[in-house]
Amino acid sequence: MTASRAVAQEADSLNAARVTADLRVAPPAAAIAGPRLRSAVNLPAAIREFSGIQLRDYGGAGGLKTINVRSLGSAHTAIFLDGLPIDNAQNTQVDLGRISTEGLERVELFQGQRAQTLQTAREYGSASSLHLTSALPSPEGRNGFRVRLRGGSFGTISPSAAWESRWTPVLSSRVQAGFTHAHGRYPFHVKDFRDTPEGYKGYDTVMVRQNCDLTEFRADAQLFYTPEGGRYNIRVSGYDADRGIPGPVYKQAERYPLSNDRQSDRSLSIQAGGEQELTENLSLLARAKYARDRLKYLDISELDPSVSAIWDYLLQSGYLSTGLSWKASEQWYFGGAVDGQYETLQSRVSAQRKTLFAAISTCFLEGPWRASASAQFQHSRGAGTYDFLSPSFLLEWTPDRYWEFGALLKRSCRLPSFNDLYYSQVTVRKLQPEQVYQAAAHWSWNRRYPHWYFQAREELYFNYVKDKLIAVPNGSLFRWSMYNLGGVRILGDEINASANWYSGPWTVGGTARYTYQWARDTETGGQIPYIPLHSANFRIFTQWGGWSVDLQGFVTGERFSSSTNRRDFRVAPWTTWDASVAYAFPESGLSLRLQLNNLLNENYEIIRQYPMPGFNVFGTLEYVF
Amino acid sequence: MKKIALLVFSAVLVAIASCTKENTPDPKFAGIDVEVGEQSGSFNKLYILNEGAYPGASTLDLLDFKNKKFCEDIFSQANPEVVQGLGNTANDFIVVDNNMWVALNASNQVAVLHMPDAKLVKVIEVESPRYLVADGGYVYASSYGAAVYGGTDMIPGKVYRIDKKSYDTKTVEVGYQPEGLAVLNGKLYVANSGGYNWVHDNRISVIDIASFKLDKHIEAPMTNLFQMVATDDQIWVSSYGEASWYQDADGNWLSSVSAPQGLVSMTPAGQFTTWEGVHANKMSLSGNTLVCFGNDAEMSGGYDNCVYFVNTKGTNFQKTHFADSDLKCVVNPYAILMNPSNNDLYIADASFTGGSKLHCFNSALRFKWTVNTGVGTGHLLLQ
Repeated sequence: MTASRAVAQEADSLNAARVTADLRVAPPAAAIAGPRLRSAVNLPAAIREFSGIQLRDYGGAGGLKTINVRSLGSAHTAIFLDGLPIDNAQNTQVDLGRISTEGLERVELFQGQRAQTLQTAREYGSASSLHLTSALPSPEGRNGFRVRLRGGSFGTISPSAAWESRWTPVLSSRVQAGFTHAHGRYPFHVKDFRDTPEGYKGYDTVMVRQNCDLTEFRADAQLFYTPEGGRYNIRVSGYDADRGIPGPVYKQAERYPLSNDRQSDRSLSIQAGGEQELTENLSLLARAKYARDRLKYLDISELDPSVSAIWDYLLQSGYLSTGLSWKASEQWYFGGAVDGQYETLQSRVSAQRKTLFAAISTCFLEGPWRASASAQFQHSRGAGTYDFLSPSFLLEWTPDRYWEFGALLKRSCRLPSFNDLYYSQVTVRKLQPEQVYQAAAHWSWNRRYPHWYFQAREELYFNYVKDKLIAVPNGSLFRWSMYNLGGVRILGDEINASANWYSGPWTVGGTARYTYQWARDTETGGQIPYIPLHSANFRIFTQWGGWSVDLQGFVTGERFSSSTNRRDFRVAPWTTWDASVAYAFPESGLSLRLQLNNLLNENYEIIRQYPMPGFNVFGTLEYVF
Repeated sequence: MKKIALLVFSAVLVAIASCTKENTPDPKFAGIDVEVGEQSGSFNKLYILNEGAYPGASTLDLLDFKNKKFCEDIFSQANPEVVQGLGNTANDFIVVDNNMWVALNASNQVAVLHMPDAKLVKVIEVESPRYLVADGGYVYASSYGAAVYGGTDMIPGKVYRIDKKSYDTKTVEVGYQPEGLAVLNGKLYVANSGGYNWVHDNRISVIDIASFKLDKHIEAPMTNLFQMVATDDQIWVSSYGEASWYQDADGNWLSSVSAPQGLVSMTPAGQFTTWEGVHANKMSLSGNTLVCFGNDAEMSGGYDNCVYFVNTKGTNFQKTHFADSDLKCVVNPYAILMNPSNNDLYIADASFTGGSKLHCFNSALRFKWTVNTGVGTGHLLLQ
């Protein structure tokens, strides 16, 4: 088992390491862990099968990828790496494509609330949250190395390496680095047909996506200290990338490209965190982070590459959190935390914001019942002054080991981003936070038989987005400004079911997930941008000896890029099928993986005017020693 | 040179063009029946140019008064096989002889369509075209050139001269980000906005038409110049106005208007008259009346859209608040045209996230009818 020694971790090893006074009331709505997570190209590829999420993807190697959970917009999903937020005060958009899954143990999506008593105050506050947890280096006391080479379509070449080491039984480290280069070009179709008096006429032409190259380098060093009853880590990460921005596809004079724009990113983050059990009933938490993101956008004229404008943004954030969890009795748990964050943007305009988060929570257990209540208060100043209270209530009922029922109520908000504030006008009333009200109920069932394991889950929810922040050209199309004008009503249903059969060296499994999202704009009455009414995905896999074969299908219904749902804004439905075949050579540490994406060469768009690639293939060779 | 100027949004131009119309049978475009009241004077058709949601496809709609039909996207109907349709971010159109010329800003093209069947005749490469005007054997297009917003170097704009027959082009350098064009007494006047620069332009470029060379620059008493119209003795220029940003004690970034949208008139000798109290951005000339709209409360940060009727032969104008008339149904005015034969006023209420509306009002500003138009309706033309 040397192959798995350095890299693979049992999915629950970190949960086992959680301190005793910390109680988690409900499991995540979706999770992915272990080798499947780590073999994904990046975070979006790993989580795209999650129910209830919509991944926005501008296509290609360096295209922006963001997550939208339950139609609330990407700003309402908080992303935490080892309990510390990854965020962007400028535009609230976090590019998930930059986050590698190497060295991660698990990714969990919590809808509504992660009801847990020991967590930062910030973690109580968002409408949904994606929690990334680093894998602890193997407990065996040896050095381990992993090298990986990935390459394939779009001229992609991506070597990476990791070194894990356990210095003492309680001190271990991981250092990893990776590089990716891709020219990013791919062909796509532009077509439109219509009925005319002379018959069904139109055009279908093939173009090549240009200016979508990516060169990126990432490095990461982590130190873990796991004394009795405690768990600490320090992480330093660097990210450096340069990419072409292909822009939307539109009609362009033949001689000129669609875009010559380029973007470079240079990011550094240093974070440290620890949890310590003080007594059997009291645990403490402390975390700190500094993040620095420098973004340089070069707007280069399509007509003359020597003409350009440089847009330079420096975003910095400092974060500090401390919390505790107290087990008052076998039934009652209490938690509390206070966080402070300072964010600043330096550019042609500059802005800064200071935010204080304070949260309290309690969890109660009685027989099959578990309940949790929490309240987060946030006070923010510097870029508008805001006070906001986010309460949440959660109830779980587990009548037996097969069934689980739960319900959630929550209110949360997002503050206007620096960009939102920049578009305010003098007479506009102060912008209010965009608020989300959530009510959800779910059931889940699982059953194990000899050779079989079945699982099913359904969640029904109603969300209401109030005071939605939108840019409006009120009165003059030459002067736009931000208003708290919009509202969205969302009614959703998520159903998924899976079955696994295993016997001897064989495992065969299948999962089907379906999501219904009725998400209507209160102003126009139409379905909000980019949310399909129906979407589904399927997965069939088999594992035998060192082989594993996986087939995944994704189906997304019709969408519109504007909530007026006019034909001009329609984005066609699409279906894609992806397959992967992997083989691990026994007792050698060597493994091979072949990933075939978009098998049927579907021509589709997730974002209007941003075509996605057709059939593409990647190979990965990995050696662990 | 010419007694009557040809210019953007000018109904005079259209009247001339319609005189030279050949007898092509009317094409049958698919459309919906609309109730648009009585005949619209001597005109049978109203063409509506929709910019599209940037950088979405622009479309050309047709309101056929004679058959009481509204026909959507007639370019695609007439040219279904033209890849990617008409083009993107249409910024202006004119009709000259039997051809319609459409400036497609994002596509860096000027498209020439044969009228009235809307068949594509020719596509001419023009860098970032803005406005069009025809004179003699040529069509002129203002062009931003390769300039980009906030660019490190300030790149001057150009005016293209396009031969109506051979489509050969020639350019001359003008001010920054040129917009409106107008022809008067053998000179081509260009309104420069400088909208991509931190300091906006206030110059009017004067080009000698015979030699197609820049004569001189005249400084206007306002900046960020926008549209231009010529009467028989004067040039009329509107301005986008000026806004600047500042941060309040709370850290909010706020915009305050330092100069409102405005209107000046200029004699060929360079004598300016500032029309105090007229807040013009888009405008249309009908006989001796220049009609324009703008925000009257801009300086105080409010919204009070007004329509102004300026007497181009006098010193007086008449102003009506949208709110005090049937125009109150117009939220985001983006195009204006006055029908010279019956003084009907067409105003587009544009939306870039959905369909726009085109409203018609009579000369007393009484509501007549509305039709639903495409995305970002910004330009109107009568035929």
